[in-house]
Amino acid sequence: MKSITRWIIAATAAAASVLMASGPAFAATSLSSNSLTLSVASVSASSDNLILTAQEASGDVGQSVTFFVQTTEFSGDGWMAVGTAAVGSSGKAVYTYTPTWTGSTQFGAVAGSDGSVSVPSVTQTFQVLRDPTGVPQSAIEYARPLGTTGGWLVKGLLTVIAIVWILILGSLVLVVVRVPRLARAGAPDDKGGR
Amino acid sequence: MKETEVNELAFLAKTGNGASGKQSWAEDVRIAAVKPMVERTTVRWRLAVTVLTLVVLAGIGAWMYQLAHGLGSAGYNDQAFWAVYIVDVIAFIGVSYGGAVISAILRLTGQSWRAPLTRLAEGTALVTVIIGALFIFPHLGRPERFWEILVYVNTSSPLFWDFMAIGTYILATLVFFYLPLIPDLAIVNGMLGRSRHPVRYKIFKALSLGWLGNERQRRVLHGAMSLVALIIIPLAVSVHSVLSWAFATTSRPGWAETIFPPYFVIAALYSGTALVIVVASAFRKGYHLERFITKRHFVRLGYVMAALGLVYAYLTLADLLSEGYTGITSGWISQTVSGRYAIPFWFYVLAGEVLPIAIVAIKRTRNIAGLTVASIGVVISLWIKRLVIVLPAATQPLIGSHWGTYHFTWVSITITLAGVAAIPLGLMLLFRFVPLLSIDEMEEVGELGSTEQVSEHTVAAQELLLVGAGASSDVGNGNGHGSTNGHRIHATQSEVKQ
Repeated sequence: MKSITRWIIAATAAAASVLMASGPAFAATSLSSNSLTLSVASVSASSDNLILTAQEASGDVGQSVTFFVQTTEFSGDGWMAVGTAAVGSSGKAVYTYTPTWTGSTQFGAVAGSDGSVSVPSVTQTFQVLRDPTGVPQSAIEYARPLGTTGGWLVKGLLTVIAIVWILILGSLVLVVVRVPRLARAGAPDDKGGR
Repeated sequence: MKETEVNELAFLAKTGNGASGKQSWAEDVRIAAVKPMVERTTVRWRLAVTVLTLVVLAGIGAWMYQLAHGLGSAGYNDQAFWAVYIVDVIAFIGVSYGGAVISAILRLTGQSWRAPLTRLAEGTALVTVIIGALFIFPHLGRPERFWEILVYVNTSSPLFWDFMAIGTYILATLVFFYLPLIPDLAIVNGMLGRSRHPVRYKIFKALSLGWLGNERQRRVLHGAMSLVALIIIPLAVSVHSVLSWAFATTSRPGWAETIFPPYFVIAALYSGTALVIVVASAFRKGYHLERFITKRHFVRLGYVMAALGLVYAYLTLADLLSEGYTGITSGWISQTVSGRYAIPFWFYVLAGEVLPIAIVAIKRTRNIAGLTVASIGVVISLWIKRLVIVLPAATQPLIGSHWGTYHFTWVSITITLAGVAAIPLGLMLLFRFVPLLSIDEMEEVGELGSTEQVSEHTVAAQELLLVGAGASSDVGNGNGHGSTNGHRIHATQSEVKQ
């Protein structure tokens, strides 16, 4: 079951809009900006992880590079830092990232450490996909046992809530209506006027 | 008893001397209950309110910052998508249940020793549930779309049911707070008159519904109060169950647990009882209520708290044992018990279970100071325990093996502290406007605070007085709700004293 439901992430350059069905890791188109280039690739067709690779033209070993993912949920400016990596002897900073959603996703990178930078200098858009082949949707989206009775359950729960509201508000209305009426109707007894 | 008309100046003159032994029990109760409403605030009070207000304002400012910079500024990310704010929601709404349920159970079972505590417990329930509900807004990535939960109803989402449940509970808490207040508002108006605060007089007059305290009015009021008390207990249980289902209906290891509803409910009652003890202790000292809230109240609440603590310890063990034994999805367990969340988890075990239960169990420490310390430990450690429930499961990877992390930021800390500060602030302001003690109930149960005790000590005297007066049916019913019960018992006590 695990192999069926496991998400298989593929990434491809958005410009190409090619849905990679299967096969080994593929090359991603890189955009360059100033001295930094960014590339994204899946580790393999059956891997969960993406490899974000940033290359410094100057090859400055030890230089920190911060990687980003664009999101509107966690960051007001749209860019969420996902981690940092140092430029190695190959002149590349490599960061392994596990995507947590699918669809068109923008990745970014900038030279600098996590705390000092907030916007990438280079960006690239990729499609993050679930395994597109061989897995029927019904196997991924479990048939929910309450699916057929859910409608009745909802009506029942709403009825219970309505009854509770009626009882609470009814108690309040009873007091608000009856107490003043009883005050007008009768004189206070031995506890009156307290 | 004839209506006591005391003008405010005379009242203040009397309170200036404090509650002396020369005044009757009823007068002392009234003075203590109304004193915070009429007295000039002290420097310490104003200082406390100023500091608490500043903390709350700082929290609002931090939320504004978060709105501008996103949830990431509070430490959230795609692998820690639920964190501190949902913990705040659960913790604050949870402590609210404690106040409401404790008060409701004591009311329904006729525990007359509850009388000095009910207003504080119900006030705490009201204030904390409002604060807890407000914490949903910082928790949302797009709070400006909150209204869509009503417009685009998604009944398959647990969050919709959370909204319905919390909304219903807030309504019940408001009504539960208001109903016992009706006689007291009439009493306050009778005491203070209309001369100095005509606006307050008018408001209280409207809200007290022309209360005279006659038997038929009492029957209506007590009937309604009993019904709402009866509703609020299962309601509190169901609301926190629904809150737990927001976790348990996910497919996330550590959250998808059948044990979660009772686990959450007991945690709520445990921490809620502890908060009632903390609030009672603070107000007892701050407002000089030593005569009314005694060691007996703390010890009894302490027993309730300890019993709930033991049940919660059992549920914690059951939760860890069943999943840990199978090992199928136990990654979050090792993170909790011996991994990165081990320190907060074992802090909970020590400060939230071992110490409080030991303090209650050992006679020497079973006193007001000890129980207050134990309760503070419970409140803090139960908040941390919720964090330990939320974070390991939230950051556990469903794909791959890379655990997510959550780091507190100044934004999340400031907003949480604002919620904490809002509790005493809300209570201090609330009791500037409504009586601190439930005057009517306290006068009903009398000075000894318990009809049971009255019966114990004065059976013979009661028979002499009450049977002779042809009202023996009202004696010793234990709930203090008889139409004239309080006064007869009060007369009995006077008799005994003589």
